Amino acid sequence: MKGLVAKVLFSMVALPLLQAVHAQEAADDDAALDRIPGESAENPPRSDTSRNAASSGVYVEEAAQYLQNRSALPVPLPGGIRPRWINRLFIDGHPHWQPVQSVKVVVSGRVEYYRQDTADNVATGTHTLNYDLREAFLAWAPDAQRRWFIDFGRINVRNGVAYAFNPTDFFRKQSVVDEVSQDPNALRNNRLGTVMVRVQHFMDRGTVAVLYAPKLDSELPIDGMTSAWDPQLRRTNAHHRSEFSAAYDFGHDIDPQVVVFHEGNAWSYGLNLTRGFGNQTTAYVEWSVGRRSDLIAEALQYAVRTGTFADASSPIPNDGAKRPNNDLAAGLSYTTKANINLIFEYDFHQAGFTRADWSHWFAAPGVSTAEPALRYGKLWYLRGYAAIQQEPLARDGLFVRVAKDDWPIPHMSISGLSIVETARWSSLTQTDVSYRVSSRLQMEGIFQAAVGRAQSSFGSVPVGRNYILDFQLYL
Amino acid sequence: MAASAIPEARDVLAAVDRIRNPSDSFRFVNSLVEYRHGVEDDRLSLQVYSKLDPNTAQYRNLARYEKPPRDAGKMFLMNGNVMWFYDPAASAKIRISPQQRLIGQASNGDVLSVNLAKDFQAEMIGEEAVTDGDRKRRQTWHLNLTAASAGAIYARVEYWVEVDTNYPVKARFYSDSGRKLKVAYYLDYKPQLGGIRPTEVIIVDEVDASLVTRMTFSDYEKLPIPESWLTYEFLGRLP
Repeated sequence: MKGLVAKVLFSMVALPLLQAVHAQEAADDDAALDRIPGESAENPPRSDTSRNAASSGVYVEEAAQYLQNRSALPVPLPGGIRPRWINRLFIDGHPHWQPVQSVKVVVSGRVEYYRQDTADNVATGTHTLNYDLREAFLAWAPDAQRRWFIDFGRINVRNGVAYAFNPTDFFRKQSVVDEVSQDPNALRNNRLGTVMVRVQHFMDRGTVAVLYAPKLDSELPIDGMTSAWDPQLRRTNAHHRSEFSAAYDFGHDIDPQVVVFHEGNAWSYGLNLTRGFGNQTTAYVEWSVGRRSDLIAEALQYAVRTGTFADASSPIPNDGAKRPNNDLAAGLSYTTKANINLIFEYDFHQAGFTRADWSHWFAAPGVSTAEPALRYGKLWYLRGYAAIQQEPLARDGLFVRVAKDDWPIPHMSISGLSIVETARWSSLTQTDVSYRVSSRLQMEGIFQAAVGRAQSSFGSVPVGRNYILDFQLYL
Repeated sequence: MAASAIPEARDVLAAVDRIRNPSDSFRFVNSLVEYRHGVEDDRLSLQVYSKLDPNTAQYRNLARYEKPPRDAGKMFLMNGNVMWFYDPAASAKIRISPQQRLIGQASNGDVLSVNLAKDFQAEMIGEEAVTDGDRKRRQTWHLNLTAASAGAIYARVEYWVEVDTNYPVKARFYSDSGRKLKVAYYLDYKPQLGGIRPTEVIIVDEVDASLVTRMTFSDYEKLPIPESWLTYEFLGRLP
């Protein structure tokens, strides 16, 4: 009896309901069909089969920047006029040619017209015309299977799976040229390659690579690192360096890369690992270890070698000893169903400033000295050296980035990032809003703020806020 | 019309996979045009290298942007749910998750070669007449697909497959919460690499009512793809 009642109820209530839902879905589908645009006969979808054609990636970029400088700093910055306006005009490109299947020629570079002014006195402004040749190399694949590659020329070799700090990216030092954004993505785009020869062999599930970069010039003082028209080999080829790397895919999403690096008489060793968790999360770990002095001793020794200071005496207590130093970056990238990408990374740089070093850095100017300018100069030199080396200044740091494309309107992308120093809790934050006007034109607004109390890493830098308006036109 | 004998859903889905994807390793060009409110809004072109993994019965894909100029040369590799992105301007290889959208409004699974039978459990709903993308009525098998592997990029898919030919006609994609995401229509069947395959897919977005994407597949070419090409280290070395 119960079964009969259920059948009657189903036929009277549920079945008509299901039919109504189905009819509504069919109506929805017809509405969907109405939204399909007719294909324009003048402008149909095209394929691009010119596989061996040259590709340029050439664009013109204009970036205007306004800086809000801090009036009082706990450690005065010696000398120099701090600009309030900077304008950069770039022609940038990374063309490549493949004249035959086995040979590829890659060139990457940019011309920059740089101008900076103070708001009060335009006459003190300076302007320069610079050229940065980032890459110029020939890649030859002698076998048809492309198992072997021999590369020669200026090559941007970049190791590392982490987002903000790459401990195994041994060729990063002194490589970054003028860049407006603090996003690690942007910083990677504008760095000089190193002149080298590289041999790489691919196996079915792995690869090994060996490279050698010769010493071609002497080291360059960090305040001499302008671009101009110099190839800047003093930045990239001031030492004999070599590297061996190997990666192997063991399956089950285990494909580590090991890196062995040699410079001077020092060896460094590194490891890269990534792992996916479902469709939304990836995790990564990047680690290296090498015998070296800490940042303070290394910077001052470099200053003496390049003639900036006469002696390497440190304003911060430091034993200068070389010991194994570890670097680590570990992070997670998570993308929500709404396509918001979140990156969270912890960075450890053993050679960087400890809490005690920070205390000494801020206390040192109070010590009586006959040469305060020299003392201030040395303190700021440490920070400048870390920046040039693309190393974190502090021992511990956090990096957070949030990004979403096509939001809140189509073609608009918004990202926010924060580089956090945890010893005294300060941060450099950046908000970036870009809008793609057309397939060739993009405009971008960037706001940066150094946040923290006066006696903290980012609270003590001369520029408090930074406003950038940027246009890119692809040719 | 006499009712057709109802086949097994998994057999229909396997036949659909064979029609959508050649079985060998191959290369093709996927040209996408996005329309907003019926007006062309964006356009991009990808060269896709696909190879079936005999161990997993799933395709591994390597894709390179040909257009627009700002993206030309960028690449991504998809091997199961392992994805890497490469930007030649930075020489950087970045591990990303399959959820990260790289090709406008289309998902990665929409533009690459994917074996549905590997990622979904198929259930036969029954025979049904539907309107195809050319507004013709077609007699179809109506399948309900539910995600059966971590590699499935949709929680649920409804699939309509032509009864006589096993040609995919229409598909509707759903989110985890059961929300309708998009409807796809498979069109313009032509001989390609030894089979008759759809060379056009139109995706009508059901979340953003203004959006339609037209994908055109062309320049199919059989190509031996060495295993080494499908490792992330090879990104940037593609000829």
